[in-house]
Order: sequence, then C-alpha cells, then structure tokens
Amino acid sequence: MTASTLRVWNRPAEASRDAVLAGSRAMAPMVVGYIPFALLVGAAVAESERPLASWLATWTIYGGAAHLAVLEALDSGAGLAAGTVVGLMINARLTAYSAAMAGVWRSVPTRSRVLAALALTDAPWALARNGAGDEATQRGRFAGAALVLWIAWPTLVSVGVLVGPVLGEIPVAGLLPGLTLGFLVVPQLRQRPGLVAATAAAVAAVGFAHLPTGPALLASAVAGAAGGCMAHRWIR
Amino acid sequence: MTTILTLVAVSVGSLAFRIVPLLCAARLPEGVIRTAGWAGTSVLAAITVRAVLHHQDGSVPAATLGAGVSVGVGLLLAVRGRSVVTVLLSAVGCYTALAVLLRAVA
Repeated sequence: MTASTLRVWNRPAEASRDAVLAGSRAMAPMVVGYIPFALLVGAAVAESERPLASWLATWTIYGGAAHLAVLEALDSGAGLAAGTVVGLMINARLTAYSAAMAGVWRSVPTRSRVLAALALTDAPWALARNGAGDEATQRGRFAGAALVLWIAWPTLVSVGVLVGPVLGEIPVAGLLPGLTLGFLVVPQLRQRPGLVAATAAAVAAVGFAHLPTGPALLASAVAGAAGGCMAHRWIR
Repeated sequence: MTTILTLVAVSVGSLAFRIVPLLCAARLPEGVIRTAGWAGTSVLAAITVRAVLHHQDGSVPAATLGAGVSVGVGLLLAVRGRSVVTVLLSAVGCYTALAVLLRAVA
C-alpha cells in the first residue's frame, strides 16, 4: 500500500499503516475457510457457458454465494430476469454493510468511499466493525482486510477454474465459510442488541430454511434488525 | 448473450448496493446506520445457521446433527477467544469424529 493510498484514508501514514497491517493479519487466516468454496465457484465458472465473462464477474459481483447462484441458475436454463433476481437478492445484504459503514466513512473523500465500496463484502466489514479504535483505525483495518480478500478471493477462484472443486467434494468443507462468518459474529454478541439481533436472525433462518438463500437472508436481516432495535430501546 | 447480460446486471446491481449508501453517508441518520449494523450481523448469523441446515453428507447418517454440533463447538471456542484457525480445525476434527461415531451407531 503506497503512501498516497494511505493518505486517502484521512490519517497520518504511520498510524494508517498499523491499522492496515492489523486488518491484513486478521483477514489472512480467515482465507483458509474460504478455500473450498472459492474452488467450487471456480469450477462453476469453468463449466459455465461463457467462462471468461463468468471469471471476470468474480471482481464485479464479488460474492461467492451470489456468483455461484447466478451461474447455477443460468446453467439450469433461467433467463435474464430470473438469473438477475437470484443474484441481486443474495447480494442485497451489501446495502446493510455499506449503510452500517456510513458513520465511519462519511468524513473521508468520495474516492475513498468508492474504493471501500468496491472491496466491500462480509468478512472485511465484520472485521472492521469488531475491532476497537477510532474511525480512522476502523477504516484502516477495513482497508487491510479488504485488500487481502480482494487479492485472495479471485486468486482462489482462478485456481478453482484450473483444478476444479477439489476440496468442495469433502462434505465438511462446506461448513467452513459459514463457520468463518459465525466466528466474526461472536464479538457482536457481547452487546445485548447484537446478541438479540443474532438470535432473532438465527431463529428466522431456521424458520425460513426452506426459502432460497436470497429471500431467507433478507427475512433474517429484517428479523435481526427488528430485534436489535427493540433491545436498543429497551436498554435506553 | 443471456449469460453476459445477466452477469452485467448482477454486477451493476451489486455495485449499487455497495456504493449508494456510502455515497449518501452524510445524509444517513444515526438510527439507520445503527439498524443496518444489526441487519448485517443478522445476515452473518443467518449464513452460519443455513450452512448447518443445508449441510449434505450422504456418507453420514444425521449429518445435519453432526454439522450443528461441530459448528457449535467451533463457535464455543470462538467465544473463549481462540483463533479462527483453531476454530476451523476443531470443527473439522469434531465433525470427522462424529461422522465415525454416527456411522458406527447406524
């Protein structure tokens, strides 16, 4: 990360570097949990009707579940509208992440916010949210984590294109991405609204287990957000 | 052509989901930002739960049970402050042991 890049996070370079390194170090081991899933997505990319376009979408869709769901929908004969809805329903959660980051990022220039948005996905968002420190530290931690995943995810998907779903055929590997994200929820449980939100979402996820991923995640998000709001008001 | 158009549409939509709230950051009320945070946490919790509920392993009877226990063990270790690598390896070890046990019982 160059000095000019660090300056756009609106912090003296040295302090930013520490936060960026902390975010990178926290993110690096989590990549392990994503390996089987990335290989699975890569294998789907290789088998798709348009492998090059599907591979390039790794950077633009930038969400394994949505990417895989779109490719599977297209493979099963879904049209433009159906395939688009499937992908967007799953990635709609990014709106919540982006909005939740607004407080920490509103003081930085637009180009910094655009850069952050391009690399926004589950794990970097949660990592930045979980750590202590002022706004600049949180931004730096996000930048470090996001940079690691921005490099690692497309690399792993590309490996999957070449070698196929090697680890994806081991059933327990399918649990690792979910557990990695669960690991990131744990620090949120120390505050009552976070605990209530996660519990409500978990219950909703069980209740909506029969739904496709997109609608089920949206329903769980609504249930969890409502629970968090109620807990927040109750505490006040 | 449908494949390319669909990928472009999902890419543009995903980009909008990511960028629009951050570009409107100055105008978002604190209540919305706070609620969005809980919604995000909720999504992560729901993804974890769905990973268990939709776990499939034809070689193990009651595989969902094994998955639930393994993820539960992993999360318990996370609560106790263990690293993510320890959490993942423990869950894999637990699942492997339970798979052997469940196969033997069946």
